[in-house]
Amino acid sequence: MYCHYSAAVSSEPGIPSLQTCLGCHQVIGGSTPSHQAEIKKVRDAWRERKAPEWIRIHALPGFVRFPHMRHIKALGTQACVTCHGDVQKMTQVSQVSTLRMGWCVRCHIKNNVTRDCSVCHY
Amino acid sequence: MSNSVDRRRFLKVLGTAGAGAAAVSACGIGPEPTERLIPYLIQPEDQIPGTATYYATTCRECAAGCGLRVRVREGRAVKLEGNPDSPINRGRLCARGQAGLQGLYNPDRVAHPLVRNARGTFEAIDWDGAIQRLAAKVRESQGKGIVFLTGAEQSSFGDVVDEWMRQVGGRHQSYEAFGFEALRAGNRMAFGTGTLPRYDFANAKYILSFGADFLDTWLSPVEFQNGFSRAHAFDAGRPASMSKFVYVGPRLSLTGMNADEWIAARPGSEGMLALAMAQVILTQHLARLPTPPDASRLSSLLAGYSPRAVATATGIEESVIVRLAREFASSAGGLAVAGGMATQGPNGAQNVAAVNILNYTAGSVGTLVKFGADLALGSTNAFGDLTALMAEMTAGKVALLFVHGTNPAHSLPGAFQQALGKVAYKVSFASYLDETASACDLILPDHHPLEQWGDSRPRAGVTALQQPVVQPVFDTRPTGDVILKLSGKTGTFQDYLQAKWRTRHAANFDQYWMESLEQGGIYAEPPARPVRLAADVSKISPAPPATAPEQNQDVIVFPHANLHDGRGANKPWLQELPDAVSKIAWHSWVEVHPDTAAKWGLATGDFLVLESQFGGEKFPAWITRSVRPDVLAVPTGQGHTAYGRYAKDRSANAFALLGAQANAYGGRNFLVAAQAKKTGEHRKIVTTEGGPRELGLGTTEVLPLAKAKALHPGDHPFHYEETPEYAKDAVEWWGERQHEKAELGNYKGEQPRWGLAIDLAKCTGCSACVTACYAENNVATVGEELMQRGREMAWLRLERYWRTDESGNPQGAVNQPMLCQQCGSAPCEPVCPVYAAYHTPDGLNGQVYNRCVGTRYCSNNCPYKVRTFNWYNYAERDGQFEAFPEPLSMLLNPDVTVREKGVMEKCTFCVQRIRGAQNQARLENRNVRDGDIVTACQQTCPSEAIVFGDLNDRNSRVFELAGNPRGYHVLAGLNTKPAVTYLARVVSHG
Amino acid sequence: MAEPQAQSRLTYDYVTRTIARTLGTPTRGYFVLLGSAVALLGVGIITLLYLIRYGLGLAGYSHPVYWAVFITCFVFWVGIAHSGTLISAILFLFRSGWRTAVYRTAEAMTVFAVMTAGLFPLIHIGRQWYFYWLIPYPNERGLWPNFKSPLIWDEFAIGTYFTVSTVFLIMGLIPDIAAVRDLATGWRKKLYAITSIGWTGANEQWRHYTRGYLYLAALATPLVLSVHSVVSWDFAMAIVPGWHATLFAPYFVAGAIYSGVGMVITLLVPIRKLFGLEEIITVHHFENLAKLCLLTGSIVSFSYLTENFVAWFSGNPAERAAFWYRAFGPYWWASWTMNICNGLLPWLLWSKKVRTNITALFVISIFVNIGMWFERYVIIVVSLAGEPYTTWTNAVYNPTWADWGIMAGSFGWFFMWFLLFVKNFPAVSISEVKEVLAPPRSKVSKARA
Repeated sequence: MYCHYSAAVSSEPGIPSLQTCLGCHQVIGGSTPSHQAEIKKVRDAWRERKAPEWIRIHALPGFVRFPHMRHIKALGTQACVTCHGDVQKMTQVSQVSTLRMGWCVRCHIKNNVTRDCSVCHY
Repeated sequence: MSNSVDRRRFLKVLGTAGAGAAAVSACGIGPEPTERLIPYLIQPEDQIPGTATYYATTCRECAAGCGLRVRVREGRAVKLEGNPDSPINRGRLCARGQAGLQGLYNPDRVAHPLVRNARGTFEAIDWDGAIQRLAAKVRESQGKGIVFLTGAEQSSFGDVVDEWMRQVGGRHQSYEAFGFEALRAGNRMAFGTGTLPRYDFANAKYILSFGADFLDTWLSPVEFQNGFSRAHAFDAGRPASMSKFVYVGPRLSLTGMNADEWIAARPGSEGMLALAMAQVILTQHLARLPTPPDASRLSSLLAGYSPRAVATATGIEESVIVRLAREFASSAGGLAVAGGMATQGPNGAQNVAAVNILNYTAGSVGTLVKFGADLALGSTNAFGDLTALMAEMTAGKVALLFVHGTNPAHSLPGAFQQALGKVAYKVSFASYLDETASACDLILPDHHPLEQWGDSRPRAGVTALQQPVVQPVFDTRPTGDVILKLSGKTGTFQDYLQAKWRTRHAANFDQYWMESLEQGGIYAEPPARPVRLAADVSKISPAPPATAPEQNQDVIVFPHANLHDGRGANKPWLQELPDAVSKIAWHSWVEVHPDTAAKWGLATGDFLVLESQFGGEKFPAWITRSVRPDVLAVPTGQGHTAYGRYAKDRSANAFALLGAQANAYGGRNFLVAAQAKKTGEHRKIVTTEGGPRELGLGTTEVLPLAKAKALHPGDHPFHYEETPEYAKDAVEWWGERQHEKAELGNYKGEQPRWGLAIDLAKCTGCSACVTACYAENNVATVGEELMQRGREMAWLRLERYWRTDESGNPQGAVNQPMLCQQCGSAPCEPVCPVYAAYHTPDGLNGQVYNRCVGTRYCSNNCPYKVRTFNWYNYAERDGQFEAFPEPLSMLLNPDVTVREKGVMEKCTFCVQRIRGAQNQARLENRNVRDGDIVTACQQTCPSEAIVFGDLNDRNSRVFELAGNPRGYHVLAGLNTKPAVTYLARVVSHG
Repeated sequence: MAEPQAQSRLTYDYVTRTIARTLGTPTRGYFVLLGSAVALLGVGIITLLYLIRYGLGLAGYSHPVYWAVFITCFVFWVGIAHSGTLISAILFLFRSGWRTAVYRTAEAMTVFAVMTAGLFPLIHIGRQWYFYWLIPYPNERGLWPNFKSPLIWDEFAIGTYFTVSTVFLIMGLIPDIAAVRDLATGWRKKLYAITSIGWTGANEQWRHYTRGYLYLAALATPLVLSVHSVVSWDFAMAIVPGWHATLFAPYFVAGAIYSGVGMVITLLVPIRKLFGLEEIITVHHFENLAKLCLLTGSIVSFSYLTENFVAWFSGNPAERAAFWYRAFGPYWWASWTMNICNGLLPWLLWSKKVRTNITALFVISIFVNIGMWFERYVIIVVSLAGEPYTTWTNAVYNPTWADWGIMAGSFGWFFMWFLLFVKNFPAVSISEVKEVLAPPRSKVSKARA
């Protein structure tokens, strides 16, 4: 929530600005060499005032709306993990769920919430 | 240019981080390919991705100075809406205002400074270079023959120009193609003041317009339309009644067709009519008698204007004149306004004066006609000043000419161009390569108003602020900055502006400034200034001009309601928006009365070439009874020889028929005598009007005032409204089943049923809602060729049905916005083989674009024919029919899918806004409140005719209106159970 | 029945040889025909590729005419498909012997016509690449087609019809293939050996065969009525004035058979000439076909009258307006083409002279086809263009090259299959023609020999 600052209030989670990254990684240097290397990248980027290019892992299919805030409100603290997996424990983030319609629908059925098409498609 | 491109990609990526993907990627089948996401370096404050930010600023599409609220998403301006705080437009906006966005992201904007090279063509130049050249030129001319020509500029920018011109010994003058010289001159004649008053339509009991098109092009249309609808609508709110509106003029304009009665007086004779009415009022003591000096002056003036005397000259029967006078006076609140044709002939000023006299005798001056709040337009230079300037130019007296925000080369084709040729050095600050700019030597493109600071004073008491709402799209600079730099002043125009405002309110300025920014300016009611009748009123003599000699025709050139003087022609939204009266789009036309057409053997679409003594042009004929038989009428706006891909070489320029000489009162004559000849050519006119058949299926309902007053709650005056006995059970049963279905996939709590109520008594047919819909829902513009084949994509169309008298002559029109009715038992739903069209739990006829395979069965089965089909991929980059060429694509609404080819689309009551409001409500642990959701059409409607809400909510406004006895459903006989309730038009017969 | 006039040469042996001769090495004329058919098909394919790349806008569609030539052709071809099953199945059940000479052609025509018709629903949709969404199949999204939609009914009706009529055709072919197998040589012998699935003509086989054939005939019979009824509901279920009529099912079925028989005649006349089958397909056969034409044609013209009467009698302004528009609106020429070709032309067939004049029949049959095509055009295009509910939509519909391209392609596709068929399989049923001949009496045949 610190990084993806708008996830709880907006449909978009928001991409953390480099400034935000530095907020922590100014002080946190990382324990293992690999970590340090990665964090160094960020710091260098900040020094050169050149935003790094993140590679997108979680991409929804076209034509679908996913209001993050609604899901976070409904699922509470576990919200992120349910779809994105336990990112905190991932050394490299990978996609854990298909993000396909069937997957969405199954969850909506499980939680007995709307299955109206026009909630996600408009 | 290049940097703007990067920026665009960067924004696109931001957009792509979710919903935007669908909007940006044209045919996004399946997931997007792996993209790279570029974050901000530093988080911009006041911006949350995925949620819109609104900025208050001012609309500069015309001089009315309406307040704007600009919807900004991820740094892109995606929608313009009216600013509710502004006393001028009260949160409403017209079609032209809506289209301002397409000015900002216009693909034909001048992307960087241009200079004319040796070969006579333009080449790019950097800003410093350009400014240096300019400074040099200014020095060379040594204060001789420097002129700065702007549009109507009652603003700090105007002041900057003034100051600079004073500094360099030049002169600043302004020009509007449709000036209001006659109004000023006329007011001077009658009251000795050259200012323009405010007209209080809202409180008028009887409105009499002598050609003044106050709903479309006259002074401040949105403000007047809002006021007009308050006075003229039949509203259950106040004691049910309405003010009668009578229109006097040779043709029915948008304003004219909203009249209860049309008096087709001879063009130019309006003044005599007005005086005759005044005479009746005076002699029959219908109003409070004026005090002695006035009384004598008036009687001496009016002596010669008895109804009988003017009957022949005006072509109006004596009895009618007397009746009008009686009605006008007895209403105790009659407002007469003069404009349009009445004020654009040789005797325009006289006519205005005459109308002033009428208001004065009826006692409306001071109550409904309020002097003191002089409108900005009052201070623009007269046409005479421009002709004077042209004389100087031709005489070679002008060495250095600056042009900003005006395009005389289009409104004076030929004449001004020649004059321009004689000017040593011409500099333009235009944002687009219009006719004037492309004749200049140096172009320093200005920011678009939405990109820069500024203010404007549309009328005394109101100062509207203008702030940049987006980063500049191109490598342009605010002309204010450039001038300040040239005049050696430090700081930007923004500093200048703030400094100026500081003088107005020094104490804790920052807070004052912030507040002003938030509400879009400072608004105050100026004290009304009383006026007395001028001493020499008896000199007023509105003798109409002699009619055109035989073999010649009186031709009227009138401003196009959407394109106005042509400035709208480069915006596809305005080009594709059918004219409110003729329903013709993408080209101009000439209005011909059927009798005249019969005489000449003319059919709609046949070309007529009009030859006046000043020039000739050919226009396709539109045959209509809404124009006098002895008059031809041609709209301006088209026929550009430059001005970008959407405007260039399209149809003909009506200005070519007009002379370049100022008349007695320094105005321009828009009424010319011309020869009309058939060319033998023919074209299929691009119109959305269908067949003339009205089958009495209850499409439009009209009630006479008396009948409407007599209605009681619960009445069903209209045919087809009651379900026939035999059908009742079936209908009930169907309703039940529908409801059961709706229970599936329910939201929490009671299901809403979204509905709309449209009051035809308020709707003027101005079509602002149509453009708003285009803007909100990414509706593609298809262009002239496809529109001619009936393939326009409009989700919302305005159907215009004439109200005719016994003899079949139109007395006005009923305008009906037709959009998806969101039927309760919709014919479109059961026939869709893939559930792309289906019934949502909240009662919408959902349309799932990415499920649609395009069998088009739904449209065949839709009796309202409100579904449109993507015949081509209108979003395809560089496709033949691309609707959003970069950077136009930046105004696409990221909350709405851009539809692919082969997909059916339609209105869904702005479902994205509904979902947005529902999401917000959930976040705040509440249910959606009435008024949370405002559809785009409702938001912009200047006459507040559209109300959206939940029909299941007993306390909602829409529920109340749906129960109104005037309410009816279109084609109710088909048992489609529409969610849209129309409230019948009410017509006052005096 | 063919036997009373004791034909001299018309023996089992003769029949086998004559019909087998039709499979002989093709003439140049044949290749010209086949070539042009394939060429037409090529045109169609190219047009389709254009439609897929640029969108349906290339066709003449314009608001509110959202269905036009493509659907017209669809209904036209489905209609053609009908007489086949009628002649082969129903007449078989009625034991009318004259069918034997013509039913094979009719049946083949049926199969290929359905194959053609089946393509159009896929061609005419906006996103052809998603056609499979119309087919019910279990998917990860848990989405199914809307079984309420007549288009889905269509899908099933056409599908069933195609399967059954194909099986029926193949089944009927077995004994004949066996017959020609015994005469054929080279690769064809192998082909027929396989396709005749070991037919020896043993008593046992014949018994099973005739039973099976009977059952299939019984199975196919209801389809003749059902398929086009369902197709007609595509329109009858909608609320468009001019579509929304309970009359439609019988009206369409009759029309379908009418057009089908017309097409059968159109095809038989040249075949008969080309392959010299004059003595097997006699004037007598054509006369019977003509009678069928006359019957169905009369039903059709009666339907026209009923339609217009009901429109007037109902007093419904929309209905009235729609039919007025049909007759006297901008598309009057289409309506009157249809009325003349389908309403008046059949009446010529009352005269035996015409019925027994092959040339006359051929000409008439051509007009029948044209008339029936226009019937669908009028029902679809004109009803939509003149839809009177809202007067505020433009209807300027003119077909473009794309429409014609696809239509040409469909004819190419149809004739390609048909020509290939007549060259490779007996176009007239050998075994069944024999059934209606006098069995060979050794003496007589000797005497002749």
